[in-house]
Amino acid sequence: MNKIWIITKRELKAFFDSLMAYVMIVLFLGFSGFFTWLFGSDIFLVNQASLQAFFAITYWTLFFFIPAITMGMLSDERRSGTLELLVTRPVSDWQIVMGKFLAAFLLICISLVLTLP
Amino acid sequence: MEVHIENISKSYGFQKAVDRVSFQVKTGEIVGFLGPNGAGKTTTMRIITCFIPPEEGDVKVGGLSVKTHPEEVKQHIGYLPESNPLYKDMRVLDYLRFVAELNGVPKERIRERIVEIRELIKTIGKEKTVILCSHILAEVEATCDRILIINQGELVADRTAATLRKQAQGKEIVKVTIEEGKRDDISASLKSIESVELVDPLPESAGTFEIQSKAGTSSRKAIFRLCVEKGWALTEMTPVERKLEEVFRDLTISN
Repeated sequence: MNKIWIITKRELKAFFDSLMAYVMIVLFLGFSGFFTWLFGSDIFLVNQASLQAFFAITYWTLFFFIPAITMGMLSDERRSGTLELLVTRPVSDWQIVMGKFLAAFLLICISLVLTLP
Repeated sequence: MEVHIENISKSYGFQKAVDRVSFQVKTGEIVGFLGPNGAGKTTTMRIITCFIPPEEGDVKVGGLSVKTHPEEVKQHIGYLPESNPLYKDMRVLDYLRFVAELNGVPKERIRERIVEIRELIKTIGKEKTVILCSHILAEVEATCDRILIINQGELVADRTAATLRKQAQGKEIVKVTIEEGKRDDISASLKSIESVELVDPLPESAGTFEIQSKAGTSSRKAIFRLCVEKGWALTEMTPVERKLEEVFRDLTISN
């Protein structure tokens, strides 16, 4: 568990140290907001304080957002050779995958929390 | 902590990268692991460090197999891959801390460990088993007790640097410079000496030759006598030391 957390911490730090996380969050919020409030939705017409329209959109924006975050997680390490370093440390493949999954999951949670206001 | 490599093989498609390689490394030994590009060095190292599994055979580190106990084996291995694996977006200290944490170094000891690294490198050879994988031969010769050479996936040599050089040095080679004689004349006379196998004129001056004797014989006295007999002046006679590079080249080309 401890080892998983070490990897998660590093991944999250890498997200926020580079522009990656910020760009993705801004894009995600921008698109979700735009389609929910301004375009292609009838949120002001249904006479209900419902989030229905938002969830219908989030489902599509997440559909592009999640792969954009996750697709580089292993392939970048492979390309830069750091995968060999990581795999030859005393951690199992399972711990590496869990660590990376958790990092992506947390990033998505953070951006979902940011949709609240 | 002994390392036993038992008959490991690994192919990439039809290309046999490692072909039934076996060797042992004892505790405290520093071993140089040599071979030309594509010989199988990296593949062998990757198998030892549990990065890829062997197709046949097994590797045991301290008695534990890489197939059944990779976690424990990795716990005992310090390995820096050749590809210079740096996370480009991390600071050096963060990187070292990350790797130290992964290796299970307790948090409060990480800082002192980083400071210790330099000292550690100096003393590591005394109690640890080191396999140095390189093609910088001078470095290998200076640091290693034993040298392994691999070529086309097969082990071609497993000896100390001294024996390796001696073995290749079986034939005496001397460089001589003879003045006051004609080049062709000197060359012909040298060839007529019984123990001489090869006379190779060198471009340095008209009278400079490299002379290789037949195995187990020495021509130095005969060359001297020849010069006295003909009235030539012998101004230089130096034994030519075979470098490890040449030994390496011979071993890897003949295969």
